[in-house]
Amino acid sequence: MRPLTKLYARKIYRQKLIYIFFACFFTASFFYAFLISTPQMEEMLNIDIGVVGGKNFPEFMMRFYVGTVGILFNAFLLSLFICEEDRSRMLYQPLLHGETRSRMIRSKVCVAVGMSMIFVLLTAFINYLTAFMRWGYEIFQQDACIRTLMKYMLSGIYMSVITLGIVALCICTRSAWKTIFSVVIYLLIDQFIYSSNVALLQKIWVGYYLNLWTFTYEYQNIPLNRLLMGMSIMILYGIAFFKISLWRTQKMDF
Amino acid sequence: MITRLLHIQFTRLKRQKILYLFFAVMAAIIVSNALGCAGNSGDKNTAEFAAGYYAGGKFPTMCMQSYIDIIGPLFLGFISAVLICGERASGMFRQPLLNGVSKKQLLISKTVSIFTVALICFLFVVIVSIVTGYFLWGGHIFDHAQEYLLQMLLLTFPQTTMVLFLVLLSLYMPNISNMMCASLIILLVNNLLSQFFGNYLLFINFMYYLYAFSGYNGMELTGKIIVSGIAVNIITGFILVYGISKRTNNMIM
Repeated sequence: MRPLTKLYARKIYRQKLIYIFFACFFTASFFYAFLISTPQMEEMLNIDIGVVGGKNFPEFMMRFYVGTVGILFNAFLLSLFICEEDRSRMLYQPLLHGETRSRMIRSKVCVAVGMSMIFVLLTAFINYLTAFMRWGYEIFQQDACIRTLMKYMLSGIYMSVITLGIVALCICTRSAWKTIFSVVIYLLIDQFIYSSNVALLQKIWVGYYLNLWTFTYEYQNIPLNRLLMGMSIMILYGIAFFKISLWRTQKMDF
Repeated sequence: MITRLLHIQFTRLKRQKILYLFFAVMAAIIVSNALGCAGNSGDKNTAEFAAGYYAGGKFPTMCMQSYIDIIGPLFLGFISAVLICGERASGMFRQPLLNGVSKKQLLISKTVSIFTVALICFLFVVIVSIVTGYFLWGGHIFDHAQEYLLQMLLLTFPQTTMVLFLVLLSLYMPNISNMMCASLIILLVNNLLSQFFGNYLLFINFMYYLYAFSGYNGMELTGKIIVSGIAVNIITGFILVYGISKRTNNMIM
């Protein structure tokens, strides 16, 4: 790992908000695992513990991070990591020490993507831990376990692509509020596209596939054609976002 | 002086394209939800049943709930962050002070403008949902008018307190990103606590009433909840106003 990447990684993992967020997520997961079993809770939250509990619990809890919450959290952290650094004139500091713009942005992207992957893994770990505490070895049923882990992996890929998009946004807008607002608008459009019936738009929309995997195929295996299609679209988006980030960094006027 | 300040704040807000974009996207979502509700008979599975349940007279309630749940408070947090944290970070916050405005007047004008945005956004959601519902279900949209108008009226209390809370939070946060992160965490924790420990939070947490007053998760609107909700919000509001004035006096601009 390059010293610059190490430096950026250290900077991001020093954010106390990350630890507060995951402590809250653990509490949420714990509450869901232990408190939803009562009939009143099942009725109030409109869920069936027989379906969402046990082996399906980690998959059920995935939706609480992957998607809206996770994307917003990543957007806030990345705007702090890029836009606020830019505003305080810290972004170009590595350039004064002989680093190139390309190396600088590659390090930032590397840390950002790594961070989003680690966060998804962490949520998976937290959900499996609370599920194990509540249901024991029942959660490790082979089929369900493989399916859930695969969905977490796919979610990790989606979150990485979105992270690349947020990095590109931060570099293009160079403003924290514009980045955050664009992400909020993206989430609203994503919700709109998923609930609408515009097939063409759905096919080319990166967020549609995650919604498909998470909600339409919840507790089911994802058909191979849907999986490949989603992966290809995501990779294409990822490459486009990365190229935009590189191109804009070269043009950036410090 | 305060009228002039308010005028400046409103002129600045009117120029924000983000507000119009937000309205456009919210309108699209409401129309999409309405079409979703209209297309469901309500007897297939859980999600479709919920959509069918909210078709017709209950549709404005559904829209209010989805706005109050996370989008609304987060958007207000964002507006507070831009108007307070963003301006503080860019050094624009203290500019009016150089023209003889007091810190108190400045904060009052900011709070009033954020509150106005909150009110406009909320009214926008209600009006668009009623208009859309009218086109889809005709006069049936008014079947539960008494219920959702009462909810609408009651929701102004927790929303006002929420604005005060967000203003206070913005005064402590160094930048937009931190403010938004803190708002997100607070909203999620509140959502969690309201779901699991609603009965215990009845007398201490004003944010619980964002859910209780909108009938979230089928919560019933009883006399006890209405009275305690209004009382908790008024008391918390006074505490927050005191906190804002203390912080404003001690703050280095």
